Amino acid sequence: MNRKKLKAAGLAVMLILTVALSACGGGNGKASNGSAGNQTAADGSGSKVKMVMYDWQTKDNVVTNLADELAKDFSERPDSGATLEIQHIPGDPYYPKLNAGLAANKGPDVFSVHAAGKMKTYVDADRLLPLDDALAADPEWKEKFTSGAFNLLTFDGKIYGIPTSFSAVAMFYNKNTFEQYNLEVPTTYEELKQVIQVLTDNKVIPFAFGAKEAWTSALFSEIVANRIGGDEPFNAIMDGGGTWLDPSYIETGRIMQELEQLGAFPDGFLGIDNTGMMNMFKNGEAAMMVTGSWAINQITGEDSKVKDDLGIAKFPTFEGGKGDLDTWLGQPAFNLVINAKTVNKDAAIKFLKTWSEDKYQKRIAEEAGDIPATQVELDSNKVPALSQELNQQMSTMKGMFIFYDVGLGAQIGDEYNNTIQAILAGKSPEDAFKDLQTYTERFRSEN
Amino acid sequence: MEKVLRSRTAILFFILPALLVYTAIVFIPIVSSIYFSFFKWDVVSPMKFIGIDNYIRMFTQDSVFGTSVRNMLLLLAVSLVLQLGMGFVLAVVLSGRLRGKEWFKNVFFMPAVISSVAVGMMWTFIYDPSMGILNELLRAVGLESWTRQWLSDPKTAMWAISIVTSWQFVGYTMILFIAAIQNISADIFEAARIDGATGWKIIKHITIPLVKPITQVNTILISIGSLKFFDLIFVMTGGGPANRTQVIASYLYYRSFNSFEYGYGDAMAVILLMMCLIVTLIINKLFSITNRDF
Repeated sequence: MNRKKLKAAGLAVMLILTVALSACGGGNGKASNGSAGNQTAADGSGSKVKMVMYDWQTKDNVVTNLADELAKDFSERPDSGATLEIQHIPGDPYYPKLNAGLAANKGPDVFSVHAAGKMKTYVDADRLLPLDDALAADPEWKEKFTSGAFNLLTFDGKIYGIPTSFSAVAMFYNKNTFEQYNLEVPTTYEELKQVIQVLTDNKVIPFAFGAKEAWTSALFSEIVANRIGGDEPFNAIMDGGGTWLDPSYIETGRIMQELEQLGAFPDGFLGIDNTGMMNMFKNGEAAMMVTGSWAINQITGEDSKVKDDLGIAKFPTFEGGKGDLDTWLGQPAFNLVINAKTVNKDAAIKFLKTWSEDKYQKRIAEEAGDIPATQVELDSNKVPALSQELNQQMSTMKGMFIFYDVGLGAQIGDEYNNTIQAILAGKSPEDAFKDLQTYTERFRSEN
Repeated sequence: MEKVLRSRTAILFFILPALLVYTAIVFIPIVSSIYFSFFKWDVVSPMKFIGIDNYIRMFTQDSVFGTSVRNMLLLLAVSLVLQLGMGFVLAVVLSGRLRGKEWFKNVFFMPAVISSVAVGMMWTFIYDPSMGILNELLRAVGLESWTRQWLSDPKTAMWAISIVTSWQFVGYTMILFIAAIQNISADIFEAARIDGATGWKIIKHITIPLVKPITQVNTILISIGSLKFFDLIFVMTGGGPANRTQVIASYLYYRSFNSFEYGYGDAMAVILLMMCLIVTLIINKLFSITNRDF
């Protein structure tokens, strides 16, 4: 009797487990449907595979709309082999959601990912499809890209991502405000301090700046660090050696605190995020802003009060500093990679090619004001004046370095960002960089 | 029916579904968290065993973890003082003869049933430095110099959040106290009054001792609630400015999902679990000692 009941109980458990497991498997249903669709698509007739792309773009941004139109165009082409839908996941949740998908062996077919260290994580884990074969099979495609375009997207000699645009960090300033107070664009830190003095005396916020999201403040500090210490300290860290206790970093921390004390940053900047500082600058409340060229389409947008008064300058140099005025902070900004487990490799590659088409590269430059990834002929009347000014300023470029968090990857890079944020909140630069050094050594010894 | 319920297989039959669900969603995750806490894992790459490194790092090299523990203790202290104190006072007042006390009960209890996200959003607006009602009020009464960037000033942010939690849950504490006070037999109060006890004396010698079991329950609920506190922080500051308002739960979330250190996040979760157990034990001990005195 008892045994019978146990058996029944056992059966009940099995039943529960089966239900639970099949519920978990629900998500995979889509993928297997996908491969079935793949076969019919390969016949050249019948239905197309459904593919998904993730990116981090904010809704109602020029680039977002452009991407959606591109995906729609791609899906409607008879030879594309797939229909593709883009899911925009802006801000901090992007990488967690992407990683959760990949960890469950599903996730998007195509996704955007930052270059260098950030991308390396996915390469090391065999999550990405190498693109060398596809590029070799279509030399015309490969040769379109500007030289060096793949440098930060190549690992162990293999290319894993396609850049669609580049970005560079510059100091944007409001010409009106500068004229009003008879100011010259500063080229040295001493001049910058005088500008800050005049602006604060007149109750104008010198820099639109925020540190709620650590990266917006870290980006500013990275230029300061380069101007003070030159390329060497960061290159050494990128190569796996080097130290955060380098005097140039401690000095950078001190400068950030000094700028704060001089009133260079708005009140409560620890609670201001990227959108907040962008709005502050767009409304003409602040005289300057240090950020990437991705901001151009926003600050020259219809709703910007300063859209016709903007100028671009190089970040000032420091007396005795080793960095050059013509060294830029920049990177391939929006790179697309293919999930190694995509339902249809050919379609995914075709989709990446769509992004490289002149039509779309032109729009990226002309509508969004970004720096295109391919050598495309641009209509200079259509490119925003500010982008042209940026191109002109960059024509004398002597060197370039990448964002620390991109170069060093999610862990050490993000910890650097947090370090700068903590310094701005009052932690002493010595302690902060000592902690970062400990973190970095620990991270490296564990790998 | 009673006979059926006494049979072991029947008991098993009724308990099993709940036990299975409990095992699946509570017990297994706890055990796997302990297991993962010995690894370094970013989800995407393979896991790497690193022994107790995560724990060493937490206690010796991570200053934000220290901040999280301090913030948690501040939250615990503020909640215990405000929630227990205010909750009890409100309960005593609303247990007496008072017109419209049902209405007051509902009003005080309401925040406890509103979703924390809504509460967090509302208070974020109240604290907003430029358009928030708090700074507006201060300006209106001429206290301009008291205005602050409440949630982005490292000095005030944690206090601002602690007060919101107490505001949110004081009604809950109050309802439990009211139930306990109403359970005290009216005869005892009457006898005390005949003996000449009034006001504060009645509260001190009758109400407080007789609601002690509920005080214990409230203390445990408040303490555990403060230890694993997460939602308001997540909504109001996200742990900022510069990690100054992180508590353990929000910081382990941050480490797991923003910097992809799942092993480290799990190690913190294990420590948090132990803290909750220890605090519960301590509270039970404290109350069992004072119970003997009574």
